[in-house]
Amino acid sequence: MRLFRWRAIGPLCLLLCLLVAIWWLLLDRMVARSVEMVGANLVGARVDVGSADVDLGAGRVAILGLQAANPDSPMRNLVEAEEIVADIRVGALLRKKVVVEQVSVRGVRFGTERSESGELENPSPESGMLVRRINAWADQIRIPELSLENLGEAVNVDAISVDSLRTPALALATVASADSSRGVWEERLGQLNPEPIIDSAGSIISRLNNANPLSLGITGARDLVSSARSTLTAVRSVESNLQALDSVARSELDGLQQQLTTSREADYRYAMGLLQLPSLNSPDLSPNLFGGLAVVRMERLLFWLGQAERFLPPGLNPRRFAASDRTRMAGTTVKFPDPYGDPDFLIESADADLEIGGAGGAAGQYAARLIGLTNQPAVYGEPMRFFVERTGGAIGPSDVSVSAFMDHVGETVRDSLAARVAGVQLPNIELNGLGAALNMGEGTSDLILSRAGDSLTGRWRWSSSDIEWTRLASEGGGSGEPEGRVQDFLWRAVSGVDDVDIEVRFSGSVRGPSLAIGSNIGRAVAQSLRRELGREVDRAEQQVRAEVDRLVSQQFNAASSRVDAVQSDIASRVGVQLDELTTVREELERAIRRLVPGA
Amino acid sequence: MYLILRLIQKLVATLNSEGTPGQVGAGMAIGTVFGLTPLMNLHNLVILAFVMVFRVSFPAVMLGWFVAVPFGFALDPVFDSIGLTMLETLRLVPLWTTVANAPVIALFNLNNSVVLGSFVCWILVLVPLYFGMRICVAKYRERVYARLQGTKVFKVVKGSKIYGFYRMFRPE
Repeated sequence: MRLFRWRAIGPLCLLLCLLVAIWWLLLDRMVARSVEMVGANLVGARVDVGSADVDLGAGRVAILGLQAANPDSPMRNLVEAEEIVADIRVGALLRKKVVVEQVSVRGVRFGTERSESGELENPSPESGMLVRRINAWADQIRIPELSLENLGEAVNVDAISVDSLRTPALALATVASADSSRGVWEERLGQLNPEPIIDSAGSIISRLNNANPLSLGITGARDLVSSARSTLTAVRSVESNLQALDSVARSELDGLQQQLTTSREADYRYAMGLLQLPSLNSPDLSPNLFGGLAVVRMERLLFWLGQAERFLPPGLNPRRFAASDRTRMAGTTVKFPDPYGDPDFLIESADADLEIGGAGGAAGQYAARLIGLTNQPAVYGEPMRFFVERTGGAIGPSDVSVSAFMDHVGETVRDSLAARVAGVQLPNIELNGLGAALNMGEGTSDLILSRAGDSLTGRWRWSSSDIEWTRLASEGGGSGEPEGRVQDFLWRAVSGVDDVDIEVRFSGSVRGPSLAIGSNIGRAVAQSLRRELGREVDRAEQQVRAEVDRLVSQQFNAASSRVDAVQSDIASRVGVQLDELTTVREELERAIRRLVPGA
Repeated sequence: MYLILRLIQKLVATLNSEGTPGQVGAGMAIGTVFGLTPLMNLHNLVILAFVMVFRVSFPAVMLGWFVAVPFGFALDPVFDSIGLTMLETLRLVPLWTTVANAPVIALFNLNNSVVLGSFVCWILVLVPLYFGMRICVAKYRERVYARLQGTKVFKVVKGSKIYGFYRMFRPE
């Protein structure tokens, strides 16, 4: 029987040619679709490609009309590029790798309007997880509220209820703890009972005092001294144990007292919070005024840091990815980095000519350069570098510079970023607590960031001298009413400020950094409030403290007295036993020295 | 369109000339790969070329494909689990690293859990399936075909177009 079907070779070749022709015809569209899918996954919003032109013979791919929507503002583009031309290494495609040797990007614009929303219908689960994690971080940040509504009014202490205070319940628990501690200490004192050792020491002392070395002989004298020293060691041990017991008891009971005091302080703060009075302890009210702005900006920054970690993962371990959707189950694709080969995706070098339009200070031409962007940095072995510099300005200053360095080659991620953009449009902020809106105009945004592993530090600063204050309409607060009066002088205080300087310092874990916010306006407002309202707030605070004291004093004092009583009882009992032991120890030491001078 | 239809007609006519139990069994066993594994993968193109060039029964390949499709969909979770287990076995990581980064072989998507799981399962059932089908077809031709030949239904079917598909079970 013949093994081969020779007549099928012709049709087979025809079929393969047909398949290649179909693939060739669809290649442009497939590349455009792939860029849209990967881009959407990266940005977290729609990415649209006008068209793609693939010339495998020349190793060149051109992407025309790329638009990446802004995830925070879906009707605007984050970035738009007229033309991207990439020189690719064709041989790497056989290994299912995309190695781009050089990219030129032309006609880049930012913040352009979109004709349709760029919101994703089905965002990727990993992007969703990142956003949820950042939202959870933002939700747990407490931005203190600046409310002046209750100033000047009679303080309504009825709002403070005993049930809502922590101290009464804690006081009851403290009494129980003190009683329980007393039982425990008494038991331990019983176990350390020094009476037997004191009796034994007394007997040894009397033997030592009556001993005659000549009648005892060398052996007898040595045995007696040895026995006396053993007893002395035992006395010292019991003495030391009693001192340790005393120290632990004091520390525990002091802790109970401290808890009570701390709880009462917390109740004062809670009660003040009920009245929504501004705290004048802080020298700076910036967290109250600009906390929201700082959190929103930091959310965006943390999102991009998270995406950088996700798409530029450190290390060489295999990584799992959900495969692309298909009619059959998609399954999981596991990437196995080859330490001796090319990364799955690499842009060796990219140059872009950017243009920021308009007549603002930032308008002009920029040149950007990116080196070594890869999804497998450990395979590539070099950190990613990114620079932007201004090549020509329409108007305004030319101090725009961005430099980024991302070293994900080792297991520990090291990122640093310094971005200074002058002439950028800063946001308008409504400061409801002040009854004013601040238009920050064009100013400077200055960001410095450093990340090593999970640790993140940096600062973000916005400054402008092109600011404009607008007074917000007050709800029923005429200038004769207390709130209106307060807002009048706050308005006078802030409207005289003709520049703004806000700084957010962040540090801690990259998953939840802590923020410190400062600004010249926050300090000015705090000073003004202290000057004008200090006495009023102090009076309200005293009333609140008095009411809290009235509600909790009975339980507080009872608990405090019980702890004191236990403390003094334990101290006196331990003290008596320690005195006895000390006396016996000293007598024993003297008796030994008498028998063995110089011992 | 006419040219494509002529091409397919000629192709089927050319391929349908073999019909030994071994050829039919091999065709059915190989054809199951198109149903069990995700269709749009490079390995299926290679296997298609194989069945076209070698003298296995092409209609049997088609039959094996159609029969295996529902099994493929139903067993996807099992394939996924098997594939993922294999891909995450530490001792096999060097092998997968080579496979996933080798020229052309990387395009076979064997680092996907469903592709790998289903392909490995197909390899495992290929030989038993071949021998099983070969025996079944031989028995059928020996015992069932002779009795069916005299029935009215068979004569009606024989006169219809679907007989062309049925011919692969006809003894030489």
